[in-house]
Parts: sequence; C-alpha cells; structure tokens
Amino acid sequence: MLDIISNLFQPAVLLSTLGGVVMGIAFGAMPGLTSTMGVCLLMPLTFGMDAAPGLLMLIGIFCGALYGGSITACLINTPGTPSAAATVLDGYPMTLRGEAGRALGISTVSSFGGGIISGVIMILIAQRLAMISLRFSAPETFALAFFGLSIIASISGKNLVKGLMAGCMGILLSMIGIDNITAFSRFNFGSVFLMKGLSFIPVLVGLFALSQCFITCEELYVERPKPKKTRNPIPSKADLKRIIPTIIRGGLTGTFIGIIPGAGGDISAFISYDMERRFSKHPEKFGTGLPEAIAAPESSNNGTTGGALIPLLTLGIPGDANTAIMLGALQMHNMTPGPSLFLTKLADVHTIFAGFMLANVFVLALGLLGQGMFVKIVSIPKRILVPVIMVMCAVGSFSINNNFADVLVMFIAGVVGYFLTKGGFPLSPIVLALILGQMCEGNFRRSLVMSKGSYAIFFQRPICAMFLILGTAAIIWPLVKGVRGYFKEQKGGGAAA
Amino acid sequence: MKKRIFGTFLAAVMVFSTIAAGAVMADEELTPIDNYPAKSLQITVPPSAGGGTDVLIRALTPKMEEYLGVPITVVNKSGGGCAIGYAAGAEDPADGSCITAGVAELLGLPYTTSFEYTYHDFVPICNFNSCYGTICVPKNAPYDTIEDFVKYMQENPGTRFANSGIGGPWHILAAEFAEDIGAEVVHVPCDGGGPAATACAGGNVEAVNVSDAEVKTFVDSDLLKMLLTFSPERLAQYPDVPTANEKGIRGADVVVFRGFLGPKDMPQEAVDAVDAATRYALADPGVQEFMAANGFTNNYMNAEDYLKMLDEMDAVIADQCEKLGLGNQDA
Repeated sequence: MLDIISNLFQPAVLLSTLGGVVMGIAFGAMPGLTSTMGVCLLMPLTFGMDAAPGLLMLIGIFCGALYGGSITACLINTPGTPSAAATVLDGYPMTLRGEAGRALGISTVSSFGGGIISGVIMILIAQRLAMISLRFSAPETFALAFFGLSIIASISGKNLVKGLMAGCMGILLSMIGIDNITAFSRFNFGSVFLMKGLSFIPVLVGLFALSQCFITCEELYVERPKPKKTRNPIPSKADLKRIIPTIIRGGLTGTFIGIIPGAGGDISAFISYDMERRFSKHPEKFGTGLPEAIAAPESSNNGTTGGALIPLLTLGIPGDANTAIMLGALQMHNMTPGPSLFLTKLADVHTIFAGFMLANVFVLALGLLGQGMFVKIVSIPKRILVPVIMVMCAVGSFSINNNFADVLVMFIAGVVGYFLTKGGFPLSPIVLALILGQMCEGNFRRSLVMSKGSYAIFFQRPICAMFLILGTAAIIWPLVKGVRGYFKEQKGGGAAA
Repeated sequence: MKKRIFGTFLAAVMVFSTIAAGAVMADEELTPIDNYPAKSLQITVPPSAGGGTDVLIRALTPKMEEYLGVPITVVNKSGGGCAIGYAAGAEDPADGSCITAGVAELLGLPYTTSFEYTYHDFVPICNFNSCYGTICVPKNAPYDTIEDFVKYMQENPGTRFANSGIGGPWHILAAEFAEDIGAEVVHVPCDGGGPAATACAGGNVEAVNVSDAEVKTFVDSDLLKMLLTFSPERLAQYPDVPTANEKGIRGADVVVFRGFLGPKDMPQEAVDAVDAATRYALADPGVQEFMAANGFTNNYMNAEDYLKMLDEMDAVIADQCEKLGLGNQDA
C-alpha cells in the first residue's frame, strides 16, 4: 500500500495525470475533437516517459474528455463528444432556465461518481468480469444494438412519429458505404469519400453544433436569461439526494457497457438516459431539464472508462477506440496485458488503478473549480460566440481525416439539422441510429455467417436472447400501454356520454 | 557544421553497431545529403492515425529528416479503407515533395471496390516492415498441431475463419490456405484484426489467421494457441511454431507490408534519396530499439524487390477475389 502511494505521489506522475485530465477536458469540450483524437495525438509524447506517468496521462485524457463533452452540451446545446449527445437533452433546457451552474455541477459530480464506481469495480473484480468481453460476440453485439435502437422512443421528445422518422433517417445514413460482409458498395455514387460510409463525428457536429449556430443567428438580439450567480459550485443537498441513486445505476450500466468490446460511452449514455426515464415516476418531464436526466448519461459515460480498462488490462482486449490505442502504449512500455500482467507487473497495475482514481478526483476538482469560468461561455455575446463555434466545427471536422469532404458533410448535416429542428424533428434519434445502425446490421449478418445461416444462434445464447427480449419488450410495452389507455378512455368517454 | 559532425558521428556509431549486431542492413556508409530535389517532404499515411503504420513512420521520420536535410511532415489521410489516402497520394505533385505510405490495403481496393487507382499509379520506393499471418485456434481446441487441424478442416467442411475485414489481406490468406489444403471454409469478416482474434478467443469461430502482433496478447494470456506462422522464418517469440514453408503450405506470399510509394513520375533522384533515407533511419540504434520494443521487424526491400512482391501478391488477390466472388463485379 505504501509503495503505491509513493509511486503515485511523484511529481511526474501527478503532473502527467493532471495534464492529461486538463487536456482531456479541453478536447472533450470542443465540438469535433474527441477523446480518441486526444489519446492518439498524445500517445507519441508518452513514448519518452516511464510506464506509469505515460499511461496515466492517456487515462487522464480519456476520463477528462468524457466529462468535458458535457460542458458544451449543457451550455450551448452542442455535445463536445458523441458520448455527451444524450446530455444535451436535459442539460441545455436547464441552462435555458438560467441554471447553467446547476447543470454543470450535476454533470461534474455525476462524471466523478460514474468514474469512481467503475474504478472500484475494476479494482475489485476486474479479472472475473473480463470474461464478459469474450462472451460478447457478433450475436450479442447485434442484440445490444437492437436493444439500443428501442431507445429511440425514449428520446423522441413530444412527437413519437417524428422521432421514428428521424431514427429511420439515421439508419439509412448508416447504410452508406461498402457492406462489410460481401464488400458491395452502397449509396456512394461513385465517390471515394463515401466508400466506407459517413464519418460519424462530422454528422454529429453538423447536426448539433452547426444547426444550433443557425438557430442562434435567428435570435441574435433576443436576451437569454443570465445564469444565476452560484457561489457554491457543488450541487445542493436536495439535488445530490436526487441524483445519487441515478449515479450508482449509471455508473454500473456504464461499467458493464464499457467492458463490451466495440460499445462505448455514446451508447451507454443513451441506455442510461432511457433506463432512468423508464423507471422515473414522471417520465413526461424528461427533456425539460431534470437533474437525474443529466446525471444518468454523465455517470454512465464516465463509467465506461473503468469498464473499458477491465478487458484491456486482464485480457488485452480493448473495450473501445481509446483503449485500443492504449493497448499500443502498454505494449510500448513492455507491459503486455493479460493475466501475466497481474503477476509480473503488479506494482505498475496498482499504480494504474490508484492513478485512475486520482484522475477522477482531478475531474471533480477541475470541474468544480472551473465551473465559474465555464459558465461565462453562456454570457459571451452570441454574435461573437456563433462565429467561433462555426470555425471550431469546421476545424474539428477537417482534423478527423484531414479531409475537406468531412467539412462538407458537417455543413450539409448542419443545414439539414436546422430544417429538421424547425420542423419539430428530434435530432438525437438520428445520431443514435447512425451509431447503432452499422453495429446492428454488420453484427446481424456476421452472426448469420457464423451460424451458417441459422437464426437459432440468436436464441441459443443467453446474453443475446436476453437483450432481444428486453428490446422487444421495450418496443411492445408502450404500444400495449397505449392501446390500454385508448380503451380506458373509450370506456370513460362512453360512461360520460 | 556542428550538425554535420554530429551526423557523421551518428553514422559512425550506427555503422559500428549494425556490424556489431551482425544485422543484415546495407553496410555502406550513409552520410546525410543536402541536395534533395524538393524543399520539404510530405508523407501521406492512409491507414488510421495511431495505428501501426502511423506510429512506425512517425518513429522513422526524425532520422529521415536528418538524412534528407529537409523538413518532413506526416499527414494522416485515413478513411474509406485507405481509399481516401491513396486517391490523394496518386494525385500529389511528382516533384519529390510528396510520398505515400504503401500498405497491403492498396492492393485489395481495386478488386473489392470501384476504386480506380492501383499500385501501378505509384512508383515503389522501398519496403521497411512486413507482418505475416498466423493460424491460431482457441486454447481448448482438440488439435495441437497444424497437421491435426488440417485434417479436421478436411473432414469438417465449413470451418469458420475470422479475418480482419472483407477482401483484406488476411481474408485472402485464409482463402488461399483453404484452397491449398483442399478444405471448404466459412470466412467471418470482423472489424479489424483485434476483434477477429477476440472472436476466436471467445470460441465463436474455429480459427483466426491475423498477424502475430494482433494475436500476441491472446496467445500470451493462454486464450489462443498458435499452430502455424506464414513468416519466412520462425518467429523469435514463438520458436516452436512451424512456418508454412516448412510444412509445404502456400500462403507466405500474402504479406501485410509497409513501405513507401511515390507519385508515378517522381524523379529517380528523389526516389533514391528517400530509399537511402529509409535505410539511414532503419540503421539508427534508437529506431532499432523502438522497433524491437514494439514488435516491428525490419523487412527492408529495395524498389525492385518491393515491386516484385507487389506483383506477386496482386496476382494472388486477383485470383482469390474472383473465386470468392467479392466486390462490385459489374464495376
């Protein structure tokens, strides 16, 4: 125990963790720049460092970015990372009420809580949980994506039909590009750029950030309620009491989703939001700025950090894109992940565990300390803020592949997003369907290749069957409720007449 | 002046160390040049940022810069399964100011998609690293040798092989292997080599044939066992695993290579300079240490050998893609 502390509290380790978290928050908050990009860019920098500080810097970026995305999501209706796409739903309405500080406080505490919960799980039962990631193959991933798609109903807002239409739009967009089972090009109109499908980030940035800029342009001279002065950045006791159960649920869900290879913070945030809404006593208030609706996605997406590290460290299986890059960094420092890592490099593993906790403490500290500064973004005159965001959208989209075509995609998505918003279409279902469409289709077909064409594969595997049943129930239940409600109304109406 | 002395010193050190290590590197002495035909050099990297190709090239560039005497920038143009990078690279100015990283994906693209550029649109410069496929099976599989597994495959048509993506080099390799031993297999395309190895480690498919780097963690953590390697020599880390050549099995011609390609009309002088710069970098002790630590082997090939390998592999891909019925055959 003592040497873990002495390993951790070295200036180099502390500084690199802190630096990682700071950079992570910055990367996360800027639309278009993601945690993956931050981890990618800074990986070469860690080559020159020792194993512990180098890895903790990457972990810091990872944790920081997942929190940072919520800052812009809450304040300017622009998710800084895909993982914060669900935070927009309630974070921005709260800011519109003039409670920007409250929204940020909740998201900071929830991110911290989610991270810590996943960290505790990682430390206590990493090796046992890791096997889940091996259980998750194509059929299970398909079933999870199917379950995820059923969430569209939850995030559709007022108009379910428009939400479903938006979801279908997202699924159609996800079909662009070569299909990955027979290599047949679809909807690419002969363009090399569209050959492997749309990049996800430019669409997200365009739909949310750019379209929001257009909308803001319309009301350039309408005053928004000034954020209330909050002296204390920590959420009130009443808020804390309300969100703590949510954070625990979100953190656990996030950890589980994080363990699954190929599923990360974006999906888990939506799933937690949906779960919170289903179990809520007043689901109709979701979307109006509820504290628990911010806490759910934020605790969940930070929960994926520890979850994703579990299979990485114990089996060498990266749970998502960030940890895939970290796998390279681990090998670089002669720390080949796997069960042997816990035997041969136990001290380093413990330092990583402790550092992970520390990174989350930094997230909390920086989030609370910086809150006063972040909130000022809302007070920036719109005629200054809007051009700045537009430039950031363009730069962010370009920097993903150094390709101007991505900027065009972002711009088109922005214009489309503007008109959809004007028409009352929710944008989140498009994003969710775009993320899940490819995952759903590819894994469905891959499962059938694996089973040599037999559909029985989906029912013979317990995890897969469970998710399929959950998804089906989630779709059918509102219908049953609706029909029952209709008959009740008829009866009631009949009695009255 | 100072820089020159330092360079000469480095060159001397590196020549000494290569001789000492008995490496197969060219033993000529390379001194940095000051007459590179262009003012700068841009290396386009089509595979994704942070991947093996990107990381290795970024490790080579400081030394290449030192040799060429011009600044080098590495530009990631990923996406489209490398198509975006190659479409850009083929249209780069051919004055020696731009080159492109040449990896195996380029060969498959024209066959599986409507991509119109081929390696004939580039001039080969040199190859610096290659990875070879392996055959791995889950740890608890009932076969322990490649002979037993081949027998199993022949008796059980429809053995499932996970590969890193449709039409990719490992897909082609699996097809060639299956054809060679006369077995019918089912190809399960995954989203990359790591997920393919995971699918096999979880027992969801019978075998995976991606590179040793991609299965390393699984073999080391006792989830997969390696039965065969397609490398020309036995792998240093797994000396007990036989090679395909030893067993008389075809497939060693499918290689995931990493090299440099130039735009078609790149001046010979520039081609030679980049080639020499690559050799200069590969001979550097720091670079060698980096490559060893990351499991990159030095598979230097000059332009002539590189082209020969491209030709051979292209023929295999053309043949197998047709047999597999891949891609837009009408296009």
